[in-house]
Amino acid sequence: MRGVERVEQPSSIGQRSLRRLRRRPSGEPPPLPREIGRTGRLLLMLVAIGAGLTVAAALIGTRATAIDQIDSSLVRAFARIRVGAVTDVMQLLDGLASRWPLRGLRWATLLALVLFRRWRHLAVFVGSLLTVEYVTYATSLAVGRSRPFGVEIATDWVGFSFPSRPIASLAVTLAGMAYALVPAGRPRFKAKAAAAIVVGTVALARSYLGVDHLSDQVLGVLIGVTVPIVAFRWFAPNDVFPVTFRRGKTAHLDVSGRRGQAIVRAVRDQLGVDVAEVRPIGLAGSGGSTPLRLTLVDETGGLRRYAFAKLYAKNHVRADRWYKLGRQILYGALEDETPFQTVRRFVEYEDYTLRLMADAGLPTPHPFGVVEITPEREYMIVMEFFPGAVELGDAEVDEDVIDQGLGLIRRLWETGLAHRDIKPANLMLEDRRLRLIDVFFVQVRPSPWRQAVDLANMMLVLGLRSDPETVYRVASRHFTPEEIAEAFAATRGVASPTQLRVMIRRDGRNLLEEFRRLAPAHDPIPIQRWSVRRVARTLAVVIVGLLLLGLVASNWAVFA
Amino acid sequence: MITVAALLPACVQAVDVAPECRVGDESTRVLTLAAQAVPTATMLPCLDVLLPGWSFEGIQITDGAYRFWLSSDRTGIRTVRVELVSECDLSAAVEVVPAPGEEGTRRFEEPLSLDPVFAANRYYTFAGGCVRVEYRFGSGDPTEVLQADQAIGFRPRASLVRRLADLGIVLCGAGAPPCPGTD
Repeated sequence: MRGVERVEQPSSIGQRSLRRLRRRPSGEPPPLPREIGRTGRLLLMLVAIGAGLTVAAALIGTRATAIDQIDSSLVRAFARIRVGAVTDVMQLLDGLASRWPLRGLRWATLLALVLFRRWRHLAVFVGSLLTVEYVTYATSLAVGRSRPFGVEIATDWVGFSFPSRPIASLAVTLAGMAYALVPAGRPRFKAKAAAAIVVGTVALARSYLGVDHLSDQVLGVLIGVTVPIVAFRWFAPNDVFPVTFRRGKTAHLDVSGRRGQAIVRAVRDQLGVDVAEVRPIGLAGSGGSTPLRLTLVDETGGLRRYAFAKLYAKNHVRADRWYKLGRQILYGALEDETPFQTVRRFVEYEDYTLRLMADAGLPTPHPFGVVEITPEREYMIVMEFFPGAVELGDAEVDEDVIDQGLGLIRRLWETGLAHRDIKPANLMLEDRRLRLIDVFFVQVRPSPWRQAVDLANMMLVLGLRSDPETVYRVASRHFTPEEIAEAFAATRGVASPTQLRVMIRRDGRNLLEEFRRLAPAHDPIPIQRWSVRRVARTLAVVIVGLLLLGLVASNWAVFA
Repeated sequence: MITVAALLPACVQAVDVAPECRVGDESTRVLTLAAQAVPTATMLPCLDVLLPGWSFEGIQITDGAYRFWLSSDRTGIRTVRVELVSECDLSAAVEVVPAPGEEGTRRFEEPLSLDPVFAANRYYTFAGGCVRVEYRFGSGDPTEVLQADQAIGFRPRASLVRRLADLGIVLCGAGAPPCPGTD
């Protein structure tokens, strides 16, 4: 019996040069400072101007003010030059901001976002629409400005004129579409330019028709543009949620551009190693972080080797929170489902579990350290990379590998640990030696149920690449038949990671039943756990969901 | 979130400011917009005295029409609708003598049903406009009409035209000189 051997870990990241480590002095910006950017500053300025304009208009009311004078003279000038045929064209153009075209655009956008399962963009788009409709409505009531005086109004209108609600509705729809549907960069710039032309043309038509004042339109555009831009930048930033038209996970950070440069600088300053390349790897199997392969070089630019890194940001903390909430609602408290509150805690915990596993002699990657990218927002943990390692799901599994896998679980049991994410993607074979990666879910002193599930999942993974009889026979060297029976009595459905469940389904054999048949009979161990907290959280989620549904339903006219 | 959810339902078209008959900044703003909605109308319906149990229940002003609703704890929600348009179909209505306070208008009644629920229409016509009042009681005594009537008053458009003219503003339509853009 070979079992799991104590693994000698590399002591450091490699060509580390202590003299190159650099402490960031007080006041110096971090590698990737958080900035709202030039457009962010411009937007804030525009919001301030818009708010000032609104307050001024509310205070001044319908009295003949300087703004009114300018507004009125412009509208009257247009009215004096009205010609029948031109008026018809202008009415047609004004129709672009009417209910039916907006309905069409909004529904088409919603449909596209649903089709490509871009729920984040969908929520931000709907939120922007509702916010703009509400803000413009509330502002129009607060100000109560009449339609332009001294001219004949030559088109349809509804309610007070300040701000121009049709212009705001058109602007938020087009700006929202640009941010939700068009990839960042040149295509989005073109989309925004086209939107500006359309909104400008409709605004001109409405001035010509005497239905809006110029200041109504200015505030309408400000609200209609600012709300979606701020909402998308804040809730669906492009580097985290890029607009793409392919299915798949989108919670990965873009590591090109400024962030890529910041990573190189941060690793050099904080770990004392030069990075020649930062490359995302294994994105498909990872939703909880952005996995990276760093190519390291020595001071002369030679001697290349790799390091593995995981980049964590606030969206990963939020995703973890939702994931745990979902698990608690669906299954109750299977184990400790307390979410992490900060990104710093995320990386600190992973660093701790890596070191704990290394101390226990488990074949996990050796941690090289934590790197700060943006304080409290982005951190990266750097660890050993297994070059040439093959995922167990693609490797040849013989009795020796099976023995290593089951010995590994035995070692986890003995050291009071549970991995909690045993699946093919987290088991690598490097020179016929089994390696265990992704220790983020590791738990110290887990429940016996969780330990049993680790065993069953390992046996299922090994069974996928061999046969249940061999796996069971080898398992009997490390575990009693009762322990194996308990493992398969505890494991069903959600207890196994998604990737493992999918692979078992594809395999065709009923591995779970085959293992249960081999082991002594054991009553099933229930997964569902009921508690007051679970009921309360479920009710809270249902109530919030109903409120959101009610919000959309009661404002159906925004869409329908 | 709850506040927003509660505030949003009425947000699409309504103008939830009461069009009171007494002169004030708020009511003037609403009635000015109403005057722009039906520029030919020489009279504007407004909210007069709300007797106990009756309440104002929303208003909508669009080009060509201005309407508001009244509710009562006895007859139900939005059981009275008051609408100003430029003209009405009076073919099924019978003319009656206007009540005191309705001078300058012609009044027409169109009873629809007494039992099981009271339903009727009333029309006031005047130069350039028509006010249609719909009574659709879900419950209560038909004599509640008398109480509802206390809530409906009229304000001459001319008073608004004069008030705005003092500010140097021309309110286009009846009682004002022709405005640019008029066909």
